[in-house]
Amino acid sequence: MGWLTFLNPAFLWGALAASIPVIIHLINRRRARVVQFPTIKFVLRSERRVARKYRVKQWLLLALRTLILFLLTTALAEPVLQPNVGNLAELNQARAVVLILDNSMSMAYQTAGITSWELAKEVSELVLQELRPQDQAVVLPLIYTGEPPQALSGDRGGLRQQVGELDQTYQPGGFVLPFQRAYMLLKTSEAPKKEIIVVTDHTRTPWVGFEPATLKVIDPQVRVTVIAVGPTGAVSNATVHEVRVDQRAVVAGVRTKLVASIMNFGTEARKQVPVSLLVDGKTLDQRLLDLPTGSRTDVAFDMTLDQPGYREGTIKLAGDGLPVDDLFYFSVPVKNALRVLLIDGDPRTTLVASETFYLMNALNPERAYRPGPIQPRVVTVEAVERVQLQEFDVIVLANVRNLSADLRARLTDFTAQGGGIWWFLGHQVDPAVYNRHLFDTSGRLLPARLGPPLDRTDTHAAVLQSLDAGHPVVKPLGDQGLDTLAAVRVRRLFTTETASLPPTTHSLLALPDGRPLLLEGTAGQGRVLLFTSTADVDWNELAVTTGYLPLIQTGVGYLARREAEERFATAARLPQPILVQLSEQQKAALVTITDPQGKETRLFPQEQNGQMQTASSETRLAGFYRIRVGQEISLVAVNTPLDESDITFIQPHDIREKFPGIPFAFVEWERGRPVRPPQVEPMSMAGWFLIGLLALMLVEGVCANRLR
Amino acid sequence: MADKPHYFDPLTLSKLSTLLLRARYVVEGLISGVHTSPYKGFSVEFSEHRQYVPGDEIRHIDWKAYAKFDRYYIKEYEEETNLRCYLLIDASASMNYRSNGVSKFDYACYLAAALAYIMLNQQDLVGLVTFSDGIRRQLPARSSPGHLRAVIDSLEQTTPAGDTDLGRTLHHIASQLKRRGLVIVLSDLLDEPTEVMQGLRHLRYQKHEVLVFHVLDHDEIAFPFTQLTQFEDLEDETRVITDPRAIAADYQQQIQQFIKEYETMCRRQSIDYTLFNTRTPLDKGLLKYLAWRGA
Repeated sequence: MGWLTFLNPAFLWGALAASIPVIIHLINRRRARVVQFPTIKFVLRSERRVARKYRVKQWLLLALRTLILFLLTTALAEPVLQPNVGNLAELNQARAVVLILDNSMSMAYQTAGITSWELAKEVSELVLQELRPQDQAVVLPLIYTGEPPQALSGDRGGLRQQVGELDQTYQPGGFVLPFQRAYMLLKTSEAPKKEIIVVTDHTRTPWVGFEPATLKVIDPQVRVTVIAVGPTGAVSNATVHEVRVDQRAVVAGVRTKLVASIMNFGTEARKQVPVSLLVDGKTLDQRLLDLPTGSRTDVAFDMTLDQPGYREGTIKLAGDGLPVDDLFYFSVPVKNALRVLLIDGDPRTTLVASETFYLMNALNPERAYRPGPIQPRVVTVEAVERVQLQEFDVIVLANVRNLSADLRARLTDFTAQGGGIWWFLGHQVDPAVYNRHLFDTSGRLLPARLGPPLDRTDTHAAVLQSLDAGHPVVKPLGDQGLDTLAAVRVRRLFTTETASLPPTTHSLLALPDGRPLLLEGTAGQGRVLLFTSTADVDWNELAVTTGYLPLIQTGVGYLARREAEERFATAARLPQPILVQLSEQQKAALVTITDPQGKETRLFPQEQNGQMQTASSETRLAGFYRIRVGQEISLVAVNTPLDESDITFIQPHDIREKFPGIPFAFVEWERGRPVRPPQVEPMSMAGWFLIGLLALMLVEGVCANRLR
Repeated sequence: MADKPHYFDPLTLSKLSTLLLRARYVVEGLISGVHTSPYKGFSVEFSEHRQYVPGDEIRHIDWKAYAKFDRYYIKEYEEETNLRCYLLIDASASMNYRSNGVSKFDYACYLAAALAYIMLNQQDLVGLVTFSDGIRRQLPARSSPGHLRAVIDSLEQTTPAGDTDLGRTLHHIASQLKRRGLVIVLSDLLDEPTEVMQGLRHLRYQKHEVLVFHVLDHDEIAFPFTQLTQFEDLEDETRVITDPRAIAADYQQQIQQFIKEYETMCRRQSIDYTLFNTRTPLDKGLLKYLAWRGA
């Protein structure tokens, strides 16, 4: 039931008045008048006959009067029923309260048209209304958007205004920092009672990694109350986890397959959920999707974008409890096709005898039907003289015997501009010439010094080793792709001198004996790959395995001239800043960023680790950010944090376990109810005491009259 | 007439210095009011000898008997026409109770003195016996003018004390009173009624006319106590603390029943019973006597 405490305990001294009737009785008994009386035998007889009954009534009357006085004085002391909050003195003690308000994205969850954030503000209002003149408080948002408060305040009006002005953010947040700040602020308070009140939707995310014991400033005397607002039953929320494009790049006029990965964080499966693809605000396609609970489901869209440039792509999900994450933004850099120049050092009249036949088919397998994202062109060594190398992104040299000094110089310029070169070797390659002209020169175009060719007599296929499984060239193959290379039989290859390998050279694929088959290096601003065997089936069988095509395509893509978008972060989650990396030529360029609301901010690049770069401040809005570097414009998509889409509630006992030995309460609040549970709310008993008093007075009056 | 009540108010009388004066005051006041003389004739006749007791007049000693028996004998005379009255006054401790300055004993004394005054003026013989658990003082019935002095002195010298043993005392007195006459008992009768009645019956058996003047204090009848009181017996160690308001009704019922019982029993024995509250004017008693005398 609880404790009976008193608001005016001084009146309890008056309860001593309850003893007055008893004292009077005792005094009267002691000071009884002595009368010498002749007819005492009649007195004795009457005493025996009626006084016993009378005495019982007198005692009853005495008890009633004592009780009346007791009730009167205790009623004046204003009794209150206070179940778990200690005594009256404690009730009057000043409180220092830190109100931590969860303003993370998940608070935007709507239940019956009201967001958890709106409910949180209502609760905060009630909490602040509870404050008395002697109390002090401070409001701390979970995620600061401005300067955090520095001290507790007794200005209730100011605090309420502060709550009213607080904005909800679309950012993730944890309770570590607010609690740390709360304990620091409470440490400065002299108030005997201290409390941290957290108003949250009690999703799990902010509590991840929160351990009060690690805060160091924790005060076990500070009471912690968590008030949960928002949904209590089933929740419904799905969001886009990622959007990926099968091709390395989206090429104008080329059909591109786009895959959106949808996650259902809700507690119930959803059927036939409309998922739409929008580009530049126009709906291109829509699919209906079944989303099992807790699942990640992919949905594929085909799109063909005609014009190169940056396009605003959006995946839109049908509405659910948390609408803010139903839109997923992605930037679509549409470019012209990747141009690859194939220099055939050993052209043949039979296609299958030529190295470039295999390379052409790998780079553009659908060329017969429609243009692909990679547009290769084959030329002979002699014809290279008439080709502008700068029109290409990658140059592949296959079994080229000798390179003229002019071609070497042009290739050096090409790499200095960021172009990539892929070397395939063959029977026409003279290692000594290659080493002299391409490795031992200042503009080194080979990643390794070549040794003599090695004939391998293994009749069995040798499983190739991937020495760097995370490398962009090898990674797209995946485990399955690497398995296909298991069937590759390498009969001949050039050895490389491992002792003279430059530090920028890495072996990506190797034979079981460790001899490199594919090496990566750098040249100027570009990248260089060296395949130590042939591009066709003369020395190995790679060209006729299923791993050949992806390896060639990813390799070419890796070597391609790095486009502007690669220097910028292409996607970010709130509140990550947007990182902008600049080339040497862009050092002096004006860099600005324009947020989704059209607000333009200038950025100032700085050199870090030899790289000029700059970053925006924390992003606060999901949408498209336009970055201008000089005349160059790129688009970065920023989305809501994925963690905040996870509306998984943490159980009260799990929160409680985080506060061992600390006074803790968990209140599940519903609209229209008081903040505190009823048993915590003190109930005035003065009225009941007065009713009891009147009743007793009535009984006393009846008894007293009957005794007369 | 306006002053008449003063003559009989016990409290007023108590302010007079002597009992004789009080007796005269009452009687003269009464007689001046009724305008009828109560005084009658006088004659005596020798009755018997009895042994001398202190207080007897020496002139009544029979010297011849002394010469014959070497003992003092008093010659007693029998009234022929005049009344022989014996005043029996209860002098037990219970009679000492007073609630307004006049105790029951005082009241009985006033009454007795006034009666003696009247009787002696009528040449009637008046005897006096004071008693408690036994006879304490006794004056033989005389009609001489100086006897009033003896009666009053005897009353004034008596202090109420001792237990009441009214029944036995009445028996004793009845056996002593050889010649019939009027016996007036002034007592609170706080004894066992049956025993008291046996004593009174004994007197009746001796052919005495008996008047019972039942003297009770106002408090004993009304029981007006309101606060917690420790009641103590006047004659023994009995005591009780009680709230008088609780028992008042029952007490009053008992005392009324007690009075009624005496009244009834006296009526059955042809005994004239009169209840006197100590606040009752004394003329009531005298009128009662005069009424009887005139009857």
